[in-house]
Amino acid sequence: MADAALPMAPRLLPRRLLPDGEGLILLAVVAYLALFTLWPLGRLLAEALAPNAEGELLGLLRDQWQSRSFTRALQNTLEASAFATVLSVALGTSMAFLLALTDVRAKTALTFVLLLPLLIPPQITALSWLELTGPSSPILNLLGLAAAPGTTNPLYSREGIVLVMGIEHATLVFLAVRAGLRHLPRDLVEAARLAGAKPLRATLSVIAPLAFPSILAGAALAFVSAIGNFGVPALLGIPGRYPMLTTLIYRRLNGFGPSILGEVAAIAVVLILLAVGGLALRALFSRWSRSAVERSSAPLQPFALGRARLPVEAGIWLVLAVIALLPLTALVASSLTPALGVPLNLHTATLDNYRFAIFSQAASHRAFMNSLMLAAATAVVSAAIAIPLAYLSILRRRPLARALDLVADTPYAIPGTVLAIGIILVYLPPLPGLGVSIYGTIWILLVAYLARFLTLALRPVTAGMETLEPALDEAARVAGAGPLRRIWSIVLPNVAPAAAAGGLLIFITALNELTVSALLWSSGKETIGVMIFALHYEGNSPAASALATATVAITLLIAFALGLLGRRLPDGAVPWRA
Amino acid sequence: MARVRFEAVTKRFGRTNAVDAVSLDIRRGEFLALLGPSGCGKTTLLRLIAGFETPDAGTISFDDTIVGQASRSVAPEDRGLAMVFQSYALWPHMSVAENVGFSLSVRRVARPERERRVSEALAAVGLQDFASRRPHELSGGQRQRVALARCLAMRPGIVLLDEPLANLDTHLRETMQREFRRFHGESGATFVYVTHDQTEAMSMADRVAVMDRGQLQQVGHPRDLYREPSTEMVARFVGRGMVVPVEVERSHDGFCEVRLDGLLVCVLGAAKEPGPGLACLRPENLEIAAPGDDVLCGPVVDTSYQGAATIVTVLVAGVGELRVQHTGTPPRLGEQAGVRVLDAWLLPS
Ligand SMILES: Nc1ncnc2c1ncn2[C@@H]1O[C@H](COP(=O)(O)OP(=O)(O)OP(=O)(O)O)[C@@H](O)[C@H]1O
Ligand SMILES: [Mg+2]
Repeated sequence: MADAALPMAPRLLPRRLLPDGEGLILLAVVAYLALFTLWPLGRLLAEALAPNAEGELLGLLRDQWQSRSFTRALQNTLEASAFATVLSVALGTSMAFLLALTDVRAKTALTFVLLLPLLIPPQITALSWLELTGPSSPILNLLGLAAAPGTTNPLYSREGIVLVMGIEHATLVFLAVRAGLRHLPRDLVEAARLAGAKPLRATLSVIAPLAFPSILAGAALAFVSAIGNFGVPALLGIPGRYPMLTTLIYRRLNGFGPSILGEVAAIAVVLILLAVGGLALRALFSRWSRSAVERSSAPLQPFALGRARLPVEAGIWLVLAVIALLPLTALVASSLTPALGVPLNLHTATLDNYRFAIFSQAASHRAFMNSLMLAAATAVVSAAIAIPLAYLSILRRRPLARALDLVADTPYAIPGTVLAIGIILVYLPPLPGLGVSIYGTIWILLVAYLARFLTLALRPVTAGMETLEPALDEAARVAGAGPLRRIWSIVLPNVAPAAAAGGLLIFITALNELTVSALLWSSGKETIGVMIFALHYEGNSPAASALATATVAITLLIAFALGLLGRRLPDGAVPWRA
Repeated sequence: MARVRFEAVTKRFGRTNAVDAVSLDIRRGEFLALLGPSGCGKTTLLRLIAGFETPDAGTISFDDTIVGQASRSVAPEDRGLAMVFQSYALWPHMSVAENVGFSLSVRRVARPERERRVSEALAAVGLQDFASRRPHELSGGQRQRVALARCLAMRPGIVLLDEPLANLDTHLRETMQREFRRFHGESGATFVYVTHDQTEAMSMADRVAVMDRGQLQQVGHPRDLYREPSTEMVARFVGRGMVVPVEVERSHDGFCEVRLDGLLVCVLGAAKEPGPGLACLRPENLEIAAPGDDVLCGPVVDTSYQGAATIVTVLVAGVGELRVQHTGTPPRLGEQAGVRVLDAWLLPS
């Protein structure tokens, strides 16, 4: 079969001592994630599981769990999150059913309003609600319904937290249920209708049971988000004396400083456990919802509402007006008010608050610039890391890169408070070799942002990478191109829109960040989120509202750009197009 | 132009041996077709040559340099070969000219030289007017030509082709087959051409290597594969052969006398000693005859019209179904027919 033996002994390959180009890139990504993610999270766990002062095994953990303030905060967290989740499920599910299954009009506009909470951070939502319901509420005053001056805002309470978080996280349930309904095959419903079921009956007996797992998956996600929420409990719960786990950690660190890092790490472990448990449940429910319907077919045909359409539409708009548009209007109105308590009308309206908050007040101006810079840097660096990481895990199928993919998700899946503690633990001591600490500088904020938001760039880039045929990369290898050249000439041009989308997503999220910044900022290194919080506490809510309104405006502008870009992106690249 | 040598190469995916102890010598400048049923390991063998896969055992060498073995392997980008992918793998964001010139710019070929070679390659495939188009603005056949031009511009010593014509219609396929032959002749490169279409393999290649379940069955000139298959699999796969049990009586000078259902027939091939064996029959070497003692007999169970001829299937007791190529009016279904064996081949035991 084979021809005559080779005339001479073949030359042996030199044994390779160093990793090849691709190995080096992988090593760089490993180092990046180890530095920003694995090390802080590992340190946090080690710290929390350490013995206490008496040297008892897991003593720190036990001491904390037995303390009264911890049990109270834990109970509050579970209670408020559970109630908020019920509200989210009721709102999100009904909206998803109405929008996906009926022929109501203006679905794009309705969806946009429903998705606003993805763009507007919790602390701004909470602030808007405070402006809407407080004694100086420009809208309630207009209607003559405002509480008497001096009364406490009713939202400073458990009910207030439940209401705002419930509305905030309804979007997550809405998205989950809508995705579930989209995957239901049309013929199941058609068969039910041929069997004589009217639309309502078909919905209740066929669609609702099949959508149930996705409702549960959405609920689990809403619950996890509520547990880790900081903005709402911070704005409503601290004045309302309703401590939750995230605010307990915040107040302890603020009050006692880094000396109690071990103790707060122990509290943080509980947050991690709750988040991981919730996310595991969500994964379970998602799998279940996919297995319930394994076929794909044409999507559901919306039911005609007939004469009920107008009343239903009016109802939806009314609900959305109350939960989304009114608070935002109150926020804008408050930002135009010359001073607290002065009634707002065409003559009194002023832009002074904007001038003050963005330009003339030094700290606030600094915060604005800091956040812009941090958001831009995080966006660019994360997109730049996401591309080689997704390349190695998707196109090159390197097992290590696939594991890193999961690592990159973690800092965003767990509550930001937890990540911040890990970052402090690692970066408070002077950096080895350099002898300086980045704690108290803007760099620690950048490190935390890089860890937390990488996944937001990685998801769209991964989705984009999955549409690329591996043979495109292989053809370039055959043509002699090394790994960097392939990433630059073949991969980058094809995933650039997805990377840009990820970058913009990070930019708006980082611009609005509060949870992590609240624990890592220092004087002179403020961020917008921190500043809104501070201005509100100083009692300057017009200025807080102005800063918040400006941020929302920037966010919406970028979201609009993202929408334009969205047409060139694969499905799932932008969260609200899932 | 290089010689590619496999020595006892095995590649496993989990439990399956995609390539199983293959030894194969691909000669300098030859056109070798890799033929086999789906899933037999053709693509894996090709990817081993390209360096996308590393062997689990054995060595692969180009000329006198080992390029692949379990412990170390030369990266595909350093092997200096070219490949035409089944999906063409044209880079969607580059124009036709950029696609063709990419490997040259990677190798830092100076611009004037690069442009000259790109336009030469495009002219060779008749696409000089399409240089600035994007791949999605081309038809399937044109994309195929771009993929070929991209190969040629590299002036590689080895060209690998993985079912390059699978996505084209029959007419275009024949045209492209001729072009591939022509380019093989002009470039002088070693061509390794994967296909599961035996007509394609037989008509294009200098030699054909038949694979089955990861193992190399036979390598040889197309004519030899057809006339003298060495295994049952090759006999059945190439030329739709039928393998039937026979009893060898005597063997001499490359001929054998065998008993086929009691009937004594003379077939080509050699047997070491008398006894049971297997013979390969082909429809075109059988003939329908009047039933009698000097032919195999049985009822006609199927007739299938093929244009120039009809394939008549006769069920012969003790032998099985025999397909016979028949011109003229075919016998009716159920009628008794005789089958005369004109030529046959005894498989080596
Ligand atoms: N990356 C892989 N991972 C796991 N199994 C693989 C992989 N590539 C190939 N195989 C398996 O190896 C065997 C040979 O596959 P290969 O692609 O080489 O076949 P082929 O002859 O090219 O088939 P086809 O004609 O269908 O293209 C098959 O059983 C296939 O399932
Ligand atoms: Mg194949």
